Amino acid sequence: MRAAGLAEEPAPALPGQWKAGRRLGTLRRRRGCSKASWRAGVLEVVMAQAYAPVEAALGPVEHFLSLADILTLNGRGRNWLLRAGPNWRGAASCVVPGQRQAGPRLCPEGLSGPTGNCTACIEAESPTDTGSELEIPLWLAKGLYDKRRVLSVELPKIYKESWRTVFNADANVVDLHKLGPYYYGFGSQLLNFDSPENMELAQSILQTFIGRFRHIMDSSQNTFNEDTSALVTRLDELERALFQTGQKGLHDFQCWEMGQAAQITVSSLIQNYKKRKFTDMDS
Amino acid sequence: MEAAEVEFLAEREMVTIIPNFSLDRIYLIGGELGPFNPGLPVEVPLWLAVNLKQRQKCRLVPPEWMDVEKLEQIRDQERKEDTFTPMPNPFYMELTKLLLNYAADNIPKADEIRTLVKDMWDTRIAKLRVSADSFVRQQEAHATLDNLTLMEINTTGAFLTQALDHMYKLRTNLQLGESVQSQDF
Repeated sequence: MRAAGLAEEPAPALPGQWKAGRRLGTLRRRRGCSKASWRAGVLEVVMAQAYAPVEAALGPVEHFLSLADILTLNGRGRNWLLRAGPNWRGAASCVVPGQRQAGPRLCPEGLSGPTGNCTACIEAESPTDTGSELEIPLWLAKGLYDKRRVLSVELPKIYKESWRTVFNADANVVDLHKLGPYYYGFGSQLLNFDSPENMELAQSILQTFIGRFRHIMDSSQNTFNEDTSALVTRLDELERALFQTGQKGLHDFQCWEMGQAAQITVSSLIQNYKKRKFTDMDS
Repeated sequence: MEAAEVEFLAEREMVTIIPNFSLDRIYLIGGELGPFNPGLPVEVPLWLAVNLKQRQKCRLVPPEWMDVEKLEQIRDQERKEDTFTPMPNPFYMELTKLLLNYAADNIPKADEIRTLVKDMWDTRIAKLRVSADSFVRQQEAHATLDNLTLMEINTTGAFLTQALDHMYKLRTNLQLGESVQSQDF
């Protein structure tokens, strides 16, 4: 800001006379940081604003290019338990070639082979039979469920009735990061499988968010310059992003109030880079 | 929007100064200012007032509302009511900060004013948080926040809109929960 910036400089004769470049140089020397880290700091500020990642869709249909959605669809660990459907074997409608050929590590995608490269094969030790249980990633389940109905999908346990009761009782006590970490996105995607519990599922996810909202808001708006890791450990990825937004608003305001908004500072991330040359960072 | 940008807007507010130099009327893009005569009060935008003050070319006249008694009244009113009460100035926070930082010597009881304004701010932010919480709990879709100032909106605005955006999507899920048309592969 013009007015606040003036406090730094000895007042010039006319406001129009001072040059931004000279002012930044003085500021840099005064703060005692090297040219390289200074430039990288400015660069980082610019980059964070200019970088607009594709956000998660948070609905039944994912964003094709969203990295968060790709991770969500990939599932994590043993969150997934899916059953191969009744028309797996012997049904004429089964279009995937290779499915009906018995063999070790046959996989629902038709990518058969002893090596079993496909994700599904890792779990299936024996030829997959009708009614076998498989843990497969959500993207594969979606693809197979769509038209061919080669599988029936079972909800992961944290979206089932028993856990929903826990969430309804008090959503704040649940460690969503351990259970998620994409609890909301994953749950929304689960609505694709026409489960009879869809309504309850959607309702439960919404209520969980509402129940946890106050806690996220208060903790993100009340902690300034403190270690927030303890606060965010139990938060879902989506909630963490929200927490960061709240923190940014608060931080921005506090900096302004303390008169720091007028100064350009080096990002805390690159303060250790002092010995590196800027040219190295380009290559 | 950053706090500094809100401050930028606040700097267009007019304040009264008493200059100690003389200058003819000046014609700026945003309007005409002056003429400036030593000892005679004149209205100028805050940015110019701060600049002139730093060059020791004027004395600032505190705005009418920047007075301990009036602020105490407003603060008590604010605590009494559930909704937000009208503020003396849409940029009360920014004006207080800039005036007290650069012209504290021209404002009587500057410290008390600082505390009072901070109290008011804290009360209002706490109130905002309570109302945001009940807003979310009742799953409302719209709200009226008449007397909230830009700085207050800006501090929690991004957080609140993002949260409501998530909530909207989760609620849309609910309607689609019955039958969802999934993507074609």
